[in-house]
Amino acid sequence: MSQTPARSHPALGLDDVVHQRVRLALLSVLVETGQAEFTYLRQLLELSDGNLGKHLNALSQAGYVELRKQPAAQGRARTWARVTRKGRRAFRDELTALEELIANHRRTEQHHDG
Amino acid sequence: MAERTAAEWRAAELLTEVRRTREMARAVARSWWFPMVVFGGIALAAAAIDASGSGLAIALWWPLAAAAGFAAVWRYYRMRSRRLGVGVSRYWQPGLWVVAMPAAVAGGEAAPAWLAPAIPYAAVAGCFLLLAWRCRSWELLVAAAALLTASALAVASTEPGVLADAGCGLVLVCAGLWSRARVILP
Repeated sequence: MSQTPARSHPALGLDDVVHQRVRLALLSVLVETGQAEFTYLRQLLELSDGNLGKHLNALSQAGYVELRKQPAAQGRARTWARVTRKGRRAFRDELTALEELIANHRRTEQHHDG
Repeated sequence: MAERTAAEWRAAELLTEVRRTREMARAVARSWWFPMVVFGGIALAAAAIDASGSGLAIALWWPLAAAAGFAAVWRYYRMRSRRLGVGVSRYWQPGLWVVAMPAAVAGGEAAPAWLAPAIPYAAVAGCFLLLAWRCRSWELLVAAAALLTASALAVASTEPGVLADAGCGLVLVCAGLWSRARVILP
């Protein structure tokens, strides 16, 4: 008799690149606005230059974000971050996995109560 | 009672934080007040032209004013995006207005006489409903409800053209100014 395969734990659906507080916050902003400038992101999320740069680079290397330098007439060039289609999908999948984790807990709780 | 695992606690925390961050970003991206005021002004001017009774003037007014309105809205979003350093959905919002306005005019012409006055309101209300859903905005939902009410009242009116344009314009301008007062800038 065949057995029903065990339901995989929702934690297995979490993406290591996205499953991080700052990166998830960055993707939340970018999914909502499409693109944002480095300074805006730094101020909104209260991060240091180095910390923000590190996380943006990680997302960029995974193909979730595109970074573009906009030459400035005077002063420093502005860096814009834009979420890619792959990034939107990763963000959506991460939220689904997180919600599934919580739903999993609720199911367990109901099972214990019942 | 089942104990939450560390992963489940972390999931709940992360989801709460994501919701908070998205609301902050959305609050900044809220900038539909400008197209509302621009196209409300265009509709109010159309009411004045309608009242003067010149058919040619009103026929020319809508395409020219809608094109000028779209250019103004596009420029506004471009400047805002540069100033704030954040994308503000420059294309789909004015795009909706550009679709809604001619649809309102053409629909008004094509519909049966008794229904025609309601079409401009209904087209813009549809546009508001889409925006309200996209932007999760109660303000836009209230404005859409007001426009649909105005749409029903317009059907009962004896001076449809002027009332439809004026009513639509007033609702748009008021909703735009209300929305403007609620915009949060960083």
